[in-house]
Amino acid sequence: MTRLEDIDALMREELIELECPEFDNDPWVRAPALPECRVAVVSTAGLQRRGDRPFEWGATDYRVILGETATEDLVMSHVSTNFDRAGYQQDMNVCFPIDRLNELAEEGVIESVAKYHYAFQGSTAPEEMEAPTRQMAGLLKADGVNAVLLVPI
Amino acid sequence: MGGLAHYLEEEGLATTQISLIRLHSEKTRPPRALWVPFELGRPFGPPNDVPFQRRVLMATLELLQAK
Repeated sequence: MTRLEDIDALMREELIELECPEFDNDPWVRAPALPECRVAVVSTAGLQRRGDRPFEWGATDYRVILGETATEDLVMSHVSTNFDRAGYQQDMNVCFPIDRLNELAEEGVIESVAKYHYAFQGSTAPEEMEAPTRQMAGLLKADGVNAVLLVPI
Repeated sequence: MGGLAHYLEEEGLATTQISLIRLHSEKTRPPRALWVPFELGRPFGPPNDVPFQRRVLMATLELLQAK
């Protein structure tokens, strides 16, 4: 089990006390109604397509994941050992809920699911991911995305 | 994760997110976040539990409707 309270005290404190950026603004974009939302996933689980470049320590770039990537072609190359991987190995939806999103789109709960999704490797200062994230925003818009689901690991 | 939300919102994209470490979200103040008490590595909960994953996903997406 890898609940925060179950990992060793030193690592737990390090995770909890991890330096986080502080912002002096509160950006807020009003989302469309859910049936009009085209949703993309942005993960920090170090996910990649099999055959793509694995993440390395300190990586600040991201990988593009085609929404129709088959389970067996999705790989997690996150360098951290401080989280559970057994759940993901059984069902990628524990951290990349593509099947659940597709079901919601089929039912009309959301408008659609993006063609492309994105994955960073967490364990990196968010400020170092700012430039690639802003660049990624253009790709999301080009895909027609108007709602982003951010998923940590 | 909260930092990415800031950057994307500043670029004009609405975001919602799951939070696994509540303190991090309290520090970064993303516009919308659902804190879940699940294991690290399982932000949508148990594997192969479709109804449960759906509840978590819907709770997260419904935050987009907050005014």
